[in-house]
Amino acid sequence: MNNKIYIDLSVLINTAFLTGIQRVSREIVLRLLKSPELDINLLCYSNENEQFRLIDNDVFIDYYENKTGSASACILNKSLNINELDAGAVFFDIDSVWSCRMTRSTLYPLLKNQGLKIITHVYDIIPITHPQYCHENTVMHFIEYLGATLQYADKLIVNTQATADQISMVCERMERKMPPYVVAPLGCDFKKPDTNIVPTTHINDDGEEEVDEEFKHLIPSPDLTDIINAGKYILMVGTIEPRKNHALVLDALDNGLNVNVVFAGRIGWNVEALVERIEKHPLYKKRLFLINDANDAAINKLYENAFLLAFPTFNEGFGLPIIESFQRGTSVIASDLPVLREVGGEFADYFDNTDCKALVKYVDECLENPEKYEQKKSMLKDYVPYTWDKSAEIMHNALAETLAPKEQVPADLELKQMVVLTARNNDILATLPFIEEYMPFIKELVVCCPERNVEPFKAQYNGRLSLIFKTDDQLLNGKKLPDDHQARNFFLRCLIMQLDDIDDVFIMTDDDYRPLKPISKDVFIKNGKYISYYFYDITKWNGTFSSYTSFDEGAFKTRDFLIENGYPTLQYSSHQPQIIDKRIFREMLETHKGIKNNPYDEWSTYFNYGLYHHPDLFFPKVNVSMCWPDQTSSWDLLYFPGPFLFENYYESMYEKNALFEGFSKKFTENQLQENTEKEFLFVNTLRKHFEQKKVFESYCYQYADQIGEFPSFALYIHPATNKLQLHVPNFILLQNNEWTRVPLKIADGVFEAYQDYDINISYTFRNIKEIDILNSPKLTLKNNGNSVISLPVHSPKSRVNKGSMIFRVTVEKSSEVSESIKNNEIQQDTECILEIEKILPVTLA
Amino acid sequence: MSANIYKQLYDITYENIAKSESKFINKEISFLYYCYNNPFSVDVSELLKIEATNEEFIQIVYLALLNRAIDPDGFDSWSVYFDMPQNEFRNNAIYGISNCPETLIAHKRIYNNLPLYYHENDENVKQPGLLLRGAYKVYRHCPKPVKKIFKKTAGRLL
Repeated sequence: MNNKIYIDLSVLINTAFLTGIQRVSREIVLRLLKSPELDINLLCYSNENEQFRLIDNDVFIDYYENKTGSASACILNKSLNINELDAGAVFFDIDSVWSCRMTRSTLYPLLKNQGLKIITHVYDIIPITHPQYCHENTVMHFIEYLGATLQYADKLIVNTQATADQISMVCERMERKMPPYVVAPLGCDFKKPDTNIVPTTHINDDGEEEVDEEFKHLIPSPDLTDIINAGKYILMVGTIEPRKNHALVLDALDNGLNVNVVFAGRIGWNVEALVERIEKHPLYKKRLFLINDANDAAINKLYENAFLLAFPTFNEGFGLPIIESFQRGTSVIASDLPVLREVGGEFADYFDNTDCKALVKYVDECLENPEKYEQKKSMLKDYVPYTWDKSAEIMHNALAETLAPKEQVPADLELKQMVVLTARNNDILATLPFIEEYMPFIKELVVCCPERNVEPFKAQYNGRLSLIFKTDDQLLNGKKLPDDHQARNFFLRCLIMQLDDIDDVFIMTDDDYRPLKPISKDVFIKNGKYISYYFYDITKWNGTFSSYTSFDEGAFKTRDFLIENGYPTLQYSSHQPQIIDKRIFREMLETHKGIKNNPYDEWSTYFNYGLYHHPDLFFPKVNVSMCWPDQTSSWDLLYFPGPFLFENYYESMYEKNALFEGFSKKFTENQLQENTEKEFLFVNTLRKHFEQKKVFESYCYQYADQIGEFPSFALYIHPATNKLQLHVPNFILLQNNEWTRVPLKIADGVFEAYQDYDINISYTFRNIKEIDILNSPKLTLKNNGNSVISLPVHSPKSRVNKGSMIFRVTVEKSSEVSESIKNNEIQQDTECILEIEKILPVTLA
Repeated sequence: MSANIYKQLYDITYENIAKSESKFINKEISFLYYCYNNPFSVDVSELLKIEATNEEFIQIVYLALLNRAIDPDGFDSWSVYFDMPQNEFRNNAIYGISNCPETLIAHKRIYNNLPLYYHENDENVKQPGLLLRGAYKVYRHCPKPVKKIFKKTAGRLL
């Protein structure tokens, strides 16, 4: 079982002064780190690198428990990409992460793509229920954070039932299901100063006796003698902010409150008027005191000597001062709020927090009836505070329970069947020897093909697999096959899933995917999960250049479907062999009735549905298929695939001057050796391409440092001249002899301005001696509704590392051109109405 | 299902703001922009397409380029220009803010900054950003406390 927990502590690590939430994070995390059952991985997000950095657990403990070292020393120089986080692990947000730059609406979907579970500790939802008490920025951040949490979290942790009830009410109003939750009251046994220690002193430069530095935290600061000697006082502890309702206690003071008032807390937001009222009050520093720099020892002393703790707050997530006061034997008068009644129970008294006279009356009763007051105080001896150990235990159990899989693929599941949809007998027949040799657990092949293919297939096949044929007519059973390629693919696969005589769990493949080496069942089922292989994030799929294929259109429609349903968005359509559970596919068809008539990408739809509804059954991994794509120029590769287990067979790759020239196209006795060599060649081309990607990425940051924006290529209409303009970066860094894809922005109005024309782009590489060494073909830009085109750029092989690229945009009148190109004719007489050239200095790495 | 959870939460929050008779500077569109916006990069040409009034647009530009909501002082200084024609206001707002020091230290990947390119192609306009970018290079090598002071000052300057 996966026992990995990731915790993002970016806020804690980067905060010098720990607020309530950071103290909670610290106390809980320190305890979770001691659990032998959980593998805790602490993280800190680096905004500059846009990656997580790992935190050293031991250094973290040293700093936050033993107070040695520093917070920054906890951060290791080891990065972790989001796609490196383990599927099945839990991502636990306990910190005040709504203030993080890496917003949860961005992060959580990525985590879901990776098959992680999310648990979020929601302290309160005050910015939603009482936004008037929060800074506008906080409200904005909180809406985003809570929205993402309610949408993606698998479980919530709250500190009170009252907070859970508030979240539930919000969910009800939105007609949404609230995620399951666990109530974990907060502990309050923070380390108290040890009163048995006698601080040592020294004589300072002024000749005065001074407490040694290491003991200073034991001495109350500032000195409270005058305040305590001034008489009985009512205490308020917590940041001075409108929500805490300090104004009511001031009103009470103005309305005959018969005890002094002490406010202890940092000056917060939007309290200028309140602070002015305090400081200008006639009783200020006589009977009214404001302490905003008290250390822990001073707070402790203030609690111990207070007549009462007042807590007239308008709203709280928990109300820690109530518990802290109980622990010191000081009675509490608090607002009559469900959350505070839950925390304070019978040990506190409650009042209407809008009625200052009620507070005056309550204090008078305490003063007039000392027996009753003492009785209430003596009750506190029976108060058993919640401990951090207990809070951590509840959270630990919630984490462990979430980690434990609710469903599992049975270990003894028989995986023997492979299903293929094909109209090409030759292709599948050439693939089968590879399957027979390297996938010994496959015993049966279901061939879905046109009727005419069945007999020739039988006649040519003499392998070990038993064959089941399903003809198109049998599958369609009178239904009409859609014309669109992608729609047809999806429709047919939906029909296959309805067949009762195929296994519940089987391998679905394409006719041209060849295993490269011996493959065990583990490739598809491991640790009780189905392994699914993705190659892209469908939200980032830009399609092939300019004119979209049916595959691209299908990907865009699938993307919209997945986003609309809140599903993960990985793209699985590499068509490499994938494991399918027919029952889950059928469940999807049942949940999304009518879905089969859409041109969706079948595997991206199925696996993202599966991962969302059955997270314990699926484990997404980067694809292991060689030659998907065959050329690194085909699209901008997102992930480095492999180690390769399958080859997407392209005959063209075996032709003269192609990468696999000389290798056998058919299964041979020497196949394993050949496959190893092919893999070596292909990995090398990939490695070089990814090196180029790194070069380009580092160039982008270098460019941004120098120029202030990232390098952009853009075609736009200048508003003053109404003329087409091309913007290219000031310089570019490319790798020698390699493909790069640069995003070309087509701004609004460009296609509209040249409706009856073709807009073409091309480039020439010119070396330092002004000699053209590479000319690109002219690419015609098509209006696909996508404003960014991924422009393939091929850098030349050159011994000189400097040169320039001349980008050329032409606008030509040629409605027949496209037809001519289709017919391979050369169009001689196009009318060019505009030509723009931009020079881009190039450095070749 | 997921498309409008932020809008729903905003509506509930807005009701509570109204009930308490308080007011926020930022409009709904800014709140929602924050929820959907990529926190690390911004395509300015896409920003220009957003349907918004000038008042709403300046709020969005702050979020997009500076990663923070507009402050009352900033809002007041821009409000003088709210009557400008939309295109002119947008180009000025983006050009102005993308050249301020705070943008340079916001570490946001800015792409396709068309208003900046319009100026590049106008021979009569000098690029005022260059001086600030020089200052930024100095800033990058400053120790953290100095950076903090710089950040605060930059915010006020804006």
